[in-house]
Amino acid sequence: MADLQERKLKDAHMRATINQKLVETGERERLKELLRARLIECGWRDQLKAYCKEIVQQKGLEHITVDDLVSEITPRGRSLVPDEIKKELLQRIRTFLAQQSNV
Amino acid sequence: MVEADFSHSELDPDMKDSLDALVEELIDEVSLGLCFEIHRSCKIGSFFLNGFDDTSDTEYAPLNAALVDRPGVDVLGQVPSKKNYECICPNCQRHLAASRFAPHLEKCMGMGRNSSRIASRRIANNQKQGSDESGQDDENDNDWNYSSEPKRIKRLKKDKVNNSPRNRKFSKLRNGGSSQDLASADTSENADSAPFYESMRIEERKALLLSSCGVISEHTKRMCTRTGKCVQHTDEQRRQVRQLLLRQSRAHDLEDIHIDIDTYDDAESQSLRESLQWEAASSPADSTSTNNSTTGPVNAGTSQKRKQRSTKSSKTKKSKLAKQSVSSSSSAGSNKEQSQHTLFDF
Repeated sequence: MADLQERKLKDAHMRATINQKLVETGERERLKELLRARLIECGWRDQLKAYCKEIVQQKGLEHITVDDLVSEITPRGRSLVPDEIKKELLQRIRTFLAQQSNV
Repeated sequence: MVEADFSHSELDPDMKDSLDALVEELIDEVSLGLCFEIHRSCKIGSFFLNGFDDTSDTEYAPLNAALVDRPGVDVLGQVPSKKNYECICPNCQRHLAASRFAPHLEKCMGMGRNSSRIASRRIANNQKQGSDESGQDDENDNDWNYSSEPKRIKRLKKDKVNNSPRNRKFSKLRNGGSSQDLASADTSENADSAPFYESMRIEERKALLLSSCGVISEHTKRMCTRTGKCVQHTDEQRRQVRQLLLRQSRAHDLEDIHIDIDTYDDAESQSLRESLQWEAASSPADSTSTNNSTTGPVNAGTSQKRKQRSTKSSKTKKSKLAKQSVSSSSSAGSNKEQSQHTLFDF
């Protein structure tokens, strides 16, 4: 158990360190911009928008809130992202980390 | 230390989990941005602006399917062609091509350049003929009638100008000559003389009767347009027509003639009048013609004489004045009759 806890702590530490590194170098913003462009290219954005329309029509234009949209869209958005884009993103992060470790 | 961790991270499965979490975090951020954007467009009312309703899509689905996008045809797939628009004349209910509508209205309803004259004339004709000749109306509606009438009116107006007292002598000369010249030409015109004489004024009637035979046919109700010496009609018929047409305003006309003579008398000297009187008395031909006109017989000899006189209608005012003065001197009672016949003589 102690082993597991220690590992989680180590994971969190590692994630925070990577995140900090990405933000500091500005790589995170670049990654986000790349992801947005890829998602628009593959039609993810249009799919989600159509889904949003359904939600809005169900709930009514006046009664829709941001929380409703986020709770509905976030899981669907995750599942709809194509695997190639996820792989590309991971590859970009790894090369970045490798560059950082080499420096 | 951190750098050391990164160096062997590719072999570490935990490292992959944290990287997946990182990617999902990025995806969530992007979808959150989309949520904000959509929520904003919902609240400002622009969310459904750029799309189609389902209802409109289904409602006009057959129309959308039928739309054609090919060169050479319109969106409905029809070859564009010049359409012949038809108008219905509000007056006679006929169907007309749009390009012919304005000229037709000019003729049919009396709108246009010289149509007010035509229209008033037509109304007058219809009022007079509507009671007894209902069948004649259709003939009047025909377009060719209007083309022939204005021509005739113009001609009559020319005659009328020449018909003033000052020009009477000249016009008689002219009419006497032209009636002989046009003897053959006028016969062709016989058919298309419509019964418009009823709406003519007395001067116009006189002018017409001066230049033509004028006998009204029983069948066609039209006037004979041949010369005064037309062989189809007798002198008696001609005389009756003139009586009929000039009856209404005879008394008025008599006055006119007297005034005419008086003015002429004023202009000329008394000695000239006396010499004319003497000349008239000495000339046997004129005296016989005067006698003939006063008695007004119907035998064949008279018609011969009348023809002779019509050819001699180019005679100057002199002889007529002489006749007039002779008859006036003879008796006051016969004066009226005499002037009547001079009326027919023109």
